[in-house]
Amino acid sequence: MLSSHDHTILVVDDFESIRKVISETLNRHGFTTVHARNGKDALDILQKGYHKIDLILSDYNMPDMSGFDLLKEVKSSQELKKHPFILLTSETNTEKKKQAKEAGLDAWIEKPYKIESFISLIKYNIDKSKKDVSI
Amino acid sequence: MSQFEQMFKEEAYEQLEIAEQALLSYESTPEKEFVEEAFRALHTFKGAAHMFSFKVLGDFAHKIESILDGIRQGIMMEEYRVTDRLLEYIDHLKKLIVDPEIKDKKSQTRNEVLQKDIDKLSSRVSDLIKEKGQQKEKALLETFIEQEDQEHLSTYYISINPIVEITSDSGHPLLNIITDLQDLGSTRLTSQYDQNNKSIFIHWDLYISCQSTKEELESQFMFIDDDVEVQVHKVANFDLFKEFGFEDFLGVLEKTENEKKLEEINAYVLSLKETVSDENIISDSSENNQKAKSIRISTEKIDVLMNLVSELVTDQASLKMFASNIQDPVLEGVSENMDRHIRQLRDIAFEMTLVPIERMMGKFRRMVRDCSVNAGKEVRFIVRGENTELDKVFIDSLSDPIMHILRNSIDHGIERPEDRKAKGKPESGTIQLEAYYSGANVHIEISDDGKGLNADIIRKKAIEKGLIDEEREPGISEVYQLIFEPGFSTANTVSNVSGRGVGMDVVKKNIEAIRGEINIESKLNQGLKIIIKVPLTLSIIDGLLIKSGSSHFLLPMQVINKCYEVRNEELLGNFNKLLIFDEEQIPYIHLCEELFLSGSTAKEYCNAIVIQCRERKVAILTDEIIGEYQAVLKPVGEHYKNQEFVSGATILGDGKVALVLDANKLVEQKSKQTTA
Repeated sequence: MLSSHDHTILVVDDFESIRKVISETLNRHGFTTVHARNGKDALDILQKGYHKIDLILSDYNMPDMSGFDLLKEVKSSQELKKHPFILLTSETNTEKKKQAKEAGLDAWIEKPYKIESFISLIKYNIDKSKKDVSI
Repeated sequence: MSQFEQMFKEEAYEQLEIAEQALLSYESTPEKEFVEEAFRALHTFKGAAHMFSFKVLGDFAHKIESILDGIRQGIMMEEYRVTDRLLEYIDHLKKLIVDPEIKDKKSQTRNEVLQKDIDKLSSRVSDLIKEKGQQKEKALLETFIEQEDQEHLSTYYISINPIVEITSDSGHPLLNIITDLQDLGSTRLTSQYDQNNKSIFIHWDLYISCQSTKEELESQFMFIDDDVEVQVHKVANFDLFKEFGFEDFLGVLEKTENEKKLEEINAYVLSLKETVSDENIISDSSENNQKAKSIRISTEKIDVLMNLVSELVTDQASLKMFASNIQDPVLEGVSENMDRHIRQLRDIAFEMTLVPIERMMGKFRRMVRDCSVNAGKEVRFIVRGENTELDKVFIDSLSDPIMHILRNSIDHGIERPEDRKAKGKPESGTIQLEAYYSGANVHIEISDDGKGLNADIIRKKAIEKGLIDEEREPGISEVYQLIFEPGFSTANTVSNVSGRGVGMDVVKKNIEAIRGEINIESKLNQGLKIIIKVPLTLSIIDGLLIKSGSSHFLLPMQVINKCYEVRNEELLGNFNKLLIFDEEQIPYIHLCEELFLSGSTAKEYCNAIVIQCRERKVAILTDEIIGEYQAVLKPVGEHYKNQEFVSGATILGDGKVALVLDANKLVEQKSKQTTA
């Protein structure tokens, strides 16, 4: 398994407090974090420096551009689609989950989550994306 | 996390403001987009609340969401003033943000009321949605319906086969999913490993009973379906884990081939249904819900159980001592385990019988509020000692009498604001309910600062009604006791709350039925105090264990004010028996001298424990303070019936008896002596 060092995660949420809480958890586990307030900002960051981002962790419901729309943008872009994309949400709607899966979502985490599961899922997905690249 | 909490509160508050504005807009122009907006804001709020583990907030928001969903689907149109209510709920959430653990008593009461209200409304919404057959938002509502209906459990058999190699240290998400699923309800997991490499998994069987739907369970594995093959089978629409013998059955099932397991389970469930219908009980899950979650047990049985448990605690303490003397690690291990289990058993047994009187307070507060508004009076209701625990039975039988006394206080005791002003009292009256332990009793004092009892009027009335002779001059306390006579009422007009003369005699009867006592103290125009004393034969108290001579005593923790060390020579020649602590003169009781105890060793210092009961203080002098002790109170026998010091006894770990000192009586007696 890869270590979590030097991996950067883009955290997208319209709540500053949530961005900070998530970042704190991630930083504690050795990840670097970049923040975005909504899908639009996130896309901006990705387009400007996508090679630096290793994983996208986004909320579902956000003003301006939702997490789902961001997902569709990312997964339909040649440059960006390799990025593992995780939705972190309080949605429990299975239908939405299916749609997201079809759009290419890599994992779905429901709030509230357990920190261990959360971190291991992130590590696993980064790990997996790196392997895919090497193949 | 807490550093971000403030930030969360601000952001969450903003979302509520958005929802509020949207609802207000909806009220003036009923367009769906406003409902959508409110819905979104609450949804965001819910997610954030869950992130910060404010479950109450999140769940409450979830229910508002459900109602909004109803409006969105055009169901709640006819509901009377639905926006009013939604706004009320949002206001409540705003208050909860400031106090998410609901520490404030007022918002606790408010929370209870609103929770019930919203539950009703939102379950109606979900019913209506069901009726209309609109399944679009099914998943959202389903979680809600199930939340409400705690018993709505189904049992699933999930068979998991890995396609890729998964080892126990691979950090594969499947392992977390399995762990997380186990939090959903009763579960049993069996894992099968590769014969050659014990760290490679080849199969899992997960049996789980939970509220989730099959679809929801399947969706848990959605993102790893390239790596594993998962089959979720619903095997029963009730909780199999509650069935006697199910776990044994699963043990047998482990030896069955994986392919045949489902068949076996189905056969097992079928056999259950047959036995159930044989007994003429309907096995349908909806009927199953009717099963009561609690059962009634006679108090005698609980008495016996409690006594046995406390005997067991004592036995265990001896065993522990014995084990540590022998120094056999095996014996010590067993003893330690037993210790833990007995402690758990004891706690459970105690919990079965005791409830804090706080339980009754909700309806009292409400009643006081409503009654005082009706009567046009301003009343402040103060509760002290709401954590005092009482036997559940007592709580039930005390609730009505206390209710009546409170009503009397509002109706007859507290004067109208203008009258109070004229008397030079604050315009709003105060009613205080105070509960405290007094040895093996619990005292509940209800006092008001109203006009008090007028002995002359009571006497006149009693003579009118022929309750006493005209020539007799009864003492003041005897006069007060008259109000407990059947058919006695001094109110000139009968109101709808009290004054029909069926009150206080019933109150007294009810309290005496549980071996309690009721007394009255009153001063004209200053107020009235009613003291209810109920025994507490079964109870634990937290106490301070002390030793004087060779005897142990226990002082209830809540009366202890401070402990000091005193030089024995200070006591010599101290004839008025007063000591000065923190510049305050406090009378003292020297246990050894007072009780003629022997075995006291002459030491330079002794300990003084200052106890305080209401405003008065007394110091108890003892040789030694042993420490905090949680004791099972037992009544003392006939021999101790006529003494003033001891209110109960408890058995210590080594089998010795410690007497529980009645702090109230000690203080009362001592202050009488000193004032006399």
